[in-house]
Amino acid sequence: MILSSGATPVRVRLEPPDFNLDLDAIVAALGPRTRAVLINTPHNPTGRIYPATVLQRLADRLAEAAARYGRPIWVISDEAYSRILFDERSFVSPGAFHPYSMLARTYSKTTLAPGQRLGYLALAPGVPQTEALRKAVFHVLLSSGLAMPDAVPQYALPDIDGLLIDVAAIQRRRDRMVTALRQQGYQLHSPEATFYLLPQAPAADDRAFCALLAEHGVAVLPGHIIELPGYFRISLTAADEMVERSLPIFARAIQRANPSART
Amino acid sequence: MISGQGTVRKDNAGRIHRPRRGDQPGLHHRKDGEMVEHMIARRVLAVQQALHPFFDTVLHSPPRSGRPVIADFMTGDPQELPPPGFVEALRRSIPTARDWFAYRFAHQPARQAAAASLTAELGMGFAADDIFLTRGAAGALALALLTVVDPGDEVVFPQPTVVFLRSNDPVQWRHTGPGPARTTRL
Repeated sequence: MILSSGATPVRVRLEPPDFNLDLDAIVAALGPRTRAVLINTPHNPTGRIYPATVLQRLADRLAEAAARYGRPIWVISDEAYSRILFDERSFVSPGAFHPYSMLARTYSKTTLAPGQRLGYLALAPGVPQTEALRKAVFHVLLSSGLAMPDAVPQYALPDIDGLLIDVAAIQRRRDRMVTALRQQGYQLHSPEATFYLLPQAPAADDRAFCALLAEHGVAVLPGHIIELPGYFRISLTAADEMVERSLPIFARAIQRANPSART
Repeated sequence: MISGQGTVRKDNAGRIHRPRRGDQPGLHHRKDGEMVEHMIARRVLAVQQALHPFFDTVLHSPPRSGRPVIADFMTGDPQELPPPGFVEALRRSIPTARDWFAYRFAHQPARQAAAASLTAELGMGFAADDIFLTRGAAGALALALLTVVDPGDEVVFPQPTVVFLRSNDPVQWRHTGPGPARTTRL
């Protein structure tokens, strides 16, 4: 998506096991050509919610860099999972701390209907040059021809906005799988939000391990193809029956990959 | 620490390193000898190179290739119906007027509802005019990027991420046809 826009992507690594934002690394990656920093919170695939203290420090560092380089640095905040929160946690937007922020939102997660494309971009309150920016965004929306939703979902939005899938059921599914997989010997953290678990693959090659699971009817996403080799991702949007059917397969797969694992 | 495995990477001294064009495996000669890279925008070839392994892996995975699975944890696709009220909300939006399917650049009641909801959720004061309806978050992210970046600008992002990924090699599933074909006993 960054490449599609014509910009140059510059990566900053999130390090396991906690996958926190590394503010020093972000600042080191900034330069005179930096136009934006993309933040995804709650984060897919780690399930981290970045706390207000971290986002405030990020905003401070971006303001310093903007002053140094003579132009603002935008925060584009992907908040697709802002309402899929576990354990009564709360979400805070980077837009609360950085005036040059835009918030990307979707109803695909809250309604679990990703085929119905509906979301919006929100300008953070207090963004400088508001009128000029509104006009610019509107003209990009018209000229790109890609972003605008069909009419019917637009009409339905006021009714759809208040809907939310059964997050408590997703949380119970998370707890069931985290507990069972840990008992089997898998290493994984319990995500704070989103739909995803991120266990470490018990074999050196996560691709081979995922292929083994797939042979026995359990489909997971190999970490190798999402820039996280050594891990695999489990989506909790599966049905409860699928979870129960999969657990014996996970148990046998880790025994095969790592016979010393617990049973 | 800054990762160095991207299409374009930046080292700790702030230097940008770009791969040579000949290094890109996504470039092919057509049968008539014409280079594909002369037919398609360079940035699109770079996008294709970055995303192809991800989509190739997912699209050829057992759930997507007709092979029965007992559990599909591959993507965030729904395995259950949307919440009650979703289909009814769409039904309530069926045509009621002659101009129902006219161009809708910004349906103001929708923008007002989104602004009110976002204000309540975040405790910040959003105006309806600050809401731009899009095709999901992907449309919103593309809209934001297209609004603020010029060619040559840099955009920093934390890795890993599923949203802005650059995939590694695709996964070769051992069997992608219908029906069981186990080669390994568990």
